[in-house]
Amino acid sequence: MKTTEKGSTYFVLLILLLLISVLFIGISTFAHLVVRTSLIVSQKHELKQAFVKEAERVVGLMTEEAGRASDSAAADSFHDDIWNQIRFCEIEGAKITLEDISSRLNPNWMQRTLFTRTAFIKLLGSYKTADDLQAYRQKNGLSADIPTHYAAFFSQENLEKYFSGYGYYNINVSDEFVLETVYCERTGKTEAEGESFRMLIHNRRLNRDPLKRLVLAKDLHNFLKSDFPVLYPIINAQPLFNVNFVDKDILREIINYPYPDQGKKKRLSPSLTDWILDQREKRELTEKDLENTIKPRYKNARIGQFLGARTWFWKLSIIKDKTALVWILARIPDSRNNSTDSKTRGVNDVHFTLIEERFSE
Amino acid sequence: MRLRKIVQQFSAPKKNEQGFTLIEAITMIAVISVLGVVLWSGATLAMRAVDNMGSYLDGSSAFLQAENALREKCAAVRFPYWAGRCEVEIDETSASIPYYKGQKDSELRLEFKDHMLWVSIPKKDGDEGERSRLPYGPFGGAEFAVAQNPNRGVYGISVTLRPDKTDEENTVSGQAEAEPDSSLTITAGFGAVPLRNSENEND
Repeated sequence: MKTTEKGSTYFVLLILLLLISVLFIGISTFAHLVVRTSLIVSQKHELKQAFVKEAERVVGLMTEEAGRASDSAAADSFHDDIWNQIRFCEIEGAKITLEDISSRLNPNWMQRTLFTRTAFIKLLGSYKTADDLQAYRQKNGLSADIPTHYAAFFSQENLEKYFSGYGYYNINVSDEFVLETVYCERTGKTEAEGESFRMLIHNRRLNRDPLKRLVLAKDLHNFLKSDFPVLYPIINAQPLFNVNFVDKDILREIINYPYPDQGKKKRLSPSLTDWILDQREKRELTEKDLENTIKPRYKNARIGQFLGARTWFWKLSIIKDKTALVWILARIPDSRNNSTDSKTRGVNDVHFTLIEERFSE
Repeated sequence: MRLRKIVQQFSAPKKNEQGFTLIEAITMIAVISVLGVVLWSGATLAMRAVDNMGSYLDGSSAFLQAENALREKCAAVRFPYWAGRCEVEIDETSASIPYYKGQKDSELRLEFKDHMLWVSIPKKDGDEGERSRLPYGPFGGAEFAVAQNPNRGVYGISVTLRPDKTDEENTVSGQAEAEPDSSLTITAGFGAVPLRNSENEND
């Protein structure tokens, strides 16, 4: 073999080795990327599971709190034990927050008169009327995404402070056209059947006797008949706002609203607002307190459709650094027993359902 | 005389420089052949292992990416809590889910086409062009189904993905059919679902 031929053999070998090295470097880099992605995905999953476990613990505490056989369990307020319990979080460095998101105005159900007969009209943007809002809802439907859907009607500041897209549709105080929309969406029935349902509500509201205009909680099953299983609890006859949490401006306007079923004056005492605001700082207000205070009548009256002592939709957030889990929970009113009397309520009556989850990193 | 001896000594081939005998040459060729066959087999095996590893990593990567995308997109599907039910349209090769980002007219579309899982947000009326359309795969097949909880409430969508079997080595002699089922089911929950009263509803 010649000397020059020795070199060429080594060169070929080097090229081969180089190719093999490049191949294996490529494979290992790819493997490393896949393993890393897999780790990120599994870490994200584990992190979320830890947050979910903590959220489930809080829901357990809420259920326990609301299911206790005591008068305090008939109401939700800042005086409940749950606020102390959520100060402790099992995830190190995380913070738990709980917020009543149903004791606010909801542009999805608000009646025209609620704007025209109160100062809520000031919340509407310039050149916008309550009729415009009603027409807009008819055309574009309802949305839980209030900031986007109703941006043309209310300022972002007011939307954040006074409004919420979460809450039940009270059969007595929700706009009848909105109830028709919800009826059709929920049951899947035709527009003609929806129209019949709306007319049923419309005629009830036109009753000469103001005391017979309301569909009471105990009569709801008879009123909705075979549609009850599908419509309940979305359409119900429970009070919309919890007096223990509702914003003072909303409370004032709801109390100032003229109620035809409140005797000749049609007005409740203006001092009622201050009394509620003062009392709720000191203790938890229950529906019994409202019944004893609101004169001439609270129970079976229109004001009782607005003001109550229970929260129906909660926003539960668990936040750690940039990671957050948000749960929207709906409390299901017990259809078999609409009583607020703690003695007739059992622990199992309370039931929270998760309707929305958001997890962000 | 002496000079002739010297010339003969230098010009005649030495005993070990006389070349190979036929047997030596045949033996050498045989040894080289055996070595070559062994090396070739080894190299082929190594290349196949590299290919298999690449395919496995490709497959794992495709599954992971598809899982991530499905979970992310489905979490953005928010049915209003007052809706009657989650109206998900499913056929053999696709699934359409409304209420993407809470908007009734905005849908999330999953489609299996050309060995790829396509995750897209088709354009709404008034939008120009496709809003987003991304392929994940390749996969051998995909099946779509709604994910339901014990009381039959729909809470998400299940996508079963089968590994891609279009590789030459897998399609020959029906090996793919004999292999155990290695499909993977991804269940992705929606961000928000309609409120159901389990006490009353039996639909």
